Amino acid sequence: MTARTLPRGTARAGRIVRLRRRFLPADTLVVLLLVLVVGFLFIYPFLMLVFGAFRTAAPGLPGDFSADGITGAYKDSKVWGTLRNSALYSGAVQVLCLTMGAFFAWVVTRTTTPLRRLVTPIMVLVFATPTIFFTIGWGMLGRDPAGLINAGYRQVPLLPGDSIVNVESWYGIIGVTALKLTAIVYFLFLGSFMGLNRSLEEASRVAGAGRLSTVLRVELPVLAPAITGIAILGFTAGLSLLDIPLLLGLPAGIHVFPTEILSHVTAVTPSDYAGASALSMLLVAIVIGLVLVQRRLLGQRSFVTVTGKSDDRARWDIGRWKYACTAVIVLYGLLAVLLPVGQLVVGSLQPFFGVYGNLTMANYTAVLDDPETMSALVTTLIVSGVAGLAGTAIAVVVTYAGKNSRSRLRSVPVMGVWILMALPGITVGLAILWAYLAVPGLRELYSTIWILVIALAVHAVPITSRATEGSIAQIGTELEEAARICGTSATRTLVVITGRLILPSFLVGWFVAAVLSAGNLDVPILLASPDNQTLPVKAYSLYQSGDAGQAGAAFCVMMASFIVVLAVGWTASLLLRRLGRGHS
Amino acid sequence: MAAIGIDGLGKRYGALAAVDGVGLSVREGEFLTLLGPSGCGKTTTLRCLAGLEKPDAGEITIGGDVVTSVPEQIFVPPERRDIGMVFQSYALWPQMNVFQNVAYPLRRRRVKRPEVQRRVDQTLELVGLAALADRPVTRLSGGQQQRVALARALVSRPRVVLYDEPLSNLDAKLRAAMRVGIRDFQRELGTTAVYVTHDQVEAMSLSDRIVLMKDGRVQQVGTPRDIYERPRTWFVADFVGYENFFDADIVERAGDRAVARLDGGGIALRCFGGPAAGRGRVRLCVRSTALSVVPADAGTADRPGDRTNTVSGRVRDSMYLGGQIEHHIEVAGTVLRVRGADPDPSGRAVSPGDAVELRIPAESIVVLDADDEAPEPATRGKQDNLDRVGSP
Ligand SMILES: Nc1ncnc2c1ncn2[C@@H]1O[C@H](COP(=O)(O)OP(=O)(O)OP(=O)(O)O)[C@@H](O)[C@H]1O
Ligand SMILES: [Mg+2]
Repeated sequence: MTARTLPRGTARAGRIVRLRRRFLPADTLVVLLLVLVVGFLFIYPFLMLVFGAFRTAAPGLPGDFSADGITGAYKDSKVWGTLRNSALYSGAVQVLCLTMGAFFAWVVTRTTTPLRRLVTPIMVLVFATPTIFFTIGWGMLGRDPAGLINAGYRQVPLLPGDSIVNVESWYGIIGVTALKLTAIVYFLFLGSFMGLNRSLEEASRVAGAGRLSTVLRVELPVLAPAITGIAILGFTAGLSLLDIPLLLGLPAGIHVFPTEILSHVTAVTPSDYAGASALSMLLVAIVIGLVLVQRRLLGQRSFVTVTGKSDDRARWDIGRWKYACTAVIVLYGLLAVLLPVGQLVVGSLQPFFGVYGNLTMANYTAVLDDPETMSALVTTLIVSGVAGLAGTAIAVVVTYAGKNSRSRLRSVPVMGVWILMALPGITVGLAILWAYLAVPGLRELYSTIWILVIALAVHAVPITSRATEGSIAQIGTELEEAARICGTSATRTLVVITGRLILPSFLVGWFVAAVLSAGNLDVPILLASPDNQTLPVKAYSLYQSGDAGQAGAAFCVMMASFIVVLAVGWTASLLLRRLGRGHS
Repeated sequence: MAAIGIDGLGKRYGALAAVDGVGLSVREGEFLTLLGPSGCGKTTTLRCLAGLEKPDAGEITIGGDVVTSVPEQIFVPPERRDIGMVFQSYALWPQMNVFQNVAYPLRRRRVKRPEVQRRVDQTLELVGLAALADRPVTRLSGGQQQRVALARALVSRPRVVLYDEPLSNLDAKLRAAMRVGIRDFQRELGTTAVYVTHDQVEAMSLSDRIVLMKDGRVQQVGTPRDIYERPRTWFVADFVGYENFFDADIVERAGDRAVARLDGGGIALRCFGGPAAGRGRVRLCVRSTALSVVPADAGTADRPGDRTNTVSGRVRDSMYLGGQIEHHIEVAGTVLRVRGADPDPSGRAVSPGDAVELRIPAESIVVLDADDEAPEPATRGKQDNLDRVGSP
């Protein structure tokens, strides 16, 4: 329209037309490329997992097709017991996590509890502590009479027996898992609680309902869809979790799905890869099914309320209860941060586990002198940094293209990434094994760090898309159009305007993904070979061979190097910003 | 139905006194409006009444029962005050449909099922939503949601209904319609009501009495007509739309009548002294619509010798407002705003530059205390602009 009203042949009209023409095919091209990348990274390994279930040999070795792996895996009556165990374990964990997560979110958003500002930092620490080290810490604390808790218990006179906790038990794994997962559930709840319109509650009070009645009849029902959604997400997370059942459950004879998949590969010779894949398929099917149900539930009823001015008035003064709430916060901080981390630190200084006199640096010397551990540390830092970056980049590009491209294929990559959202780490490792070992050319990646980078990046994408999708959704096309109208080219707009706006959440996504990747055990456990071990794998084997103290030292060294890397990055960004300001 | 008494009510947020010694009494069945600029403490006062906020000072009684008393440490929680409240954001419970929302207060008061059905139907009928009883409230228009909120507040026939800017989220047309609606329901039920708004028209058209607040304090209490025609402070006059203010001295006084001499020009105006008009400094104020303007050379036929309260000036600027015209007229160094019908019924027109005579009827002049605090700068903006026009 406008183009026609402009005088024909002017440079300006010509430029507009040319830009349009050039933009569209490039757009389609980018999307096509994305479809290929996502197909290769996400869909292809998943298909290979199915393929693997029908193979008689290990990945990359010549073999035949047969259904033996599948029948073998499911004929075994143990598998149904495992399924029941998994459901029981994850279900019980959910009950605890939901209660604690909702409780803490409520305390933080709604009450005047004195220490409420500490909750979020505590949760960040719990979230960032690698599960494997959290587990090792608790293993040391409560495995045998030598741990801090039991040792402390014995100091108190007049108490019966010489140990109070044994984490290698049902209660132990459920409790430890609940402590760890509460952090995630808390963050999921925090948003819903902050979004809750306070006047809904006040309207109920004025209408004659007491506090308890208001909670039961108004607040819980309003939050119900969110609670269900979080419960399902948490349940799938519990089903997928490997570290805690592996370290604390197996010694007590408790088998769950991820440990069972692992033992098909590692506990029998020759490894039963087909059986592991067959079990993985069931786990994947359950997880995807649950995620679909969750989508459904959340999509159905939207309780977005009409809000006027925000009515965030004073919090509830819960009177004497606030001391009880403070006590719960302190207790949680103790159990989820101070005790396990403290035990790791104390353990790393003990010459022998459980010896509290003459602390030494012997474990550190051992760790620092061991080339294997040091190379594991370096591998971990590089792999987690690169995988985090790649995972965030994929998430951003896929989400951005899904929202802004005009191509008809734009939602294909989004769906591709999304369908494999919550894949358990162990199955990602297995699928990548099949996908890369079976193909010449790709096979060479095995035993390099790149296979770990790829696997961890794929595994990180659900988290990184969560972290970035909000900021991408907020970027109105208007902002970009405004920039275009002001005469900025399409590419420049993308880089200068859009890139600038996404950058902060990109960095957050990168950071979170890197931290999670660095502590991840279940993805590399099947992929690691002596040449590309990561620290979690190394720590696991140290713990298994009884060198818990060295595992603790490894943890401290890893945390220290993380802090150094962060500090360097932070200083660099500060300097860059200074320089940038100096120029402009 | 119940009378309300508020005495010495105070509520602080940190260093800020949101409500500062408010004392009021609301008669049984009365419709009282709290009016005032943003942040003056209307909502806080209302929330203290509802029991949603604990005041730091004062006492509140509803129907003779003490519901809040800071000195005696009494605090009745909102659910036991037997009140209804309409929230600005409606605050409808999204998981319930229209019927369930409206039935909720009755259920909490343990009313029997058939009775609940009957009264909800009746109330929905009253607000004209009987047909929508089974709709989820998330699928209603803004006006419909507001009526559900209203029905919910009224359904249990509470002793008192509180409204916090219930119409501010609606568009102008719907607001006018709902205003009429609220007045009708309120008349039909005869419940005591306290209504919060910063909209003057809403306050004037709904209320039996208006309480004008500023900075957490009551400025003036009176009927809408009182407030509109006899503001008692500079702030109130400014808030209800008086545009022209002059500093003056009362030079003569005989009973109710007085003569005031304006600063600067030596012009004397007759007026009726209010409580402020002793002898000495005063501030006069007058509405732009009360002034009438005639061209200076219009002859003497229609001004038979009476030049009382007539001053001469010059038109600086005229603005057409659609059906009305506003002139800015400079009189003895100040600029006055004068508003009249356009076209003028008498067929005379003045234009910028003309010398004119201005008549200021004595009964339209309000005499205020000269020591009054100035209104907020925000509300005084128009005045400042005019002064600038006046001083070239
Ligand atoms: N929870 C709070 N914390 C701190 N200050 C508050 C709080 N609630 C209100 N205030 C302050 O108290 C004063 C009175 O607020 P209030 O909400 O009663 O004003 P209002 O007259 O209802 O204004 P509006 O017309 O804008 O709704 C304001 O200055 C406000 O900023
Ligand atoms: Mg208000």
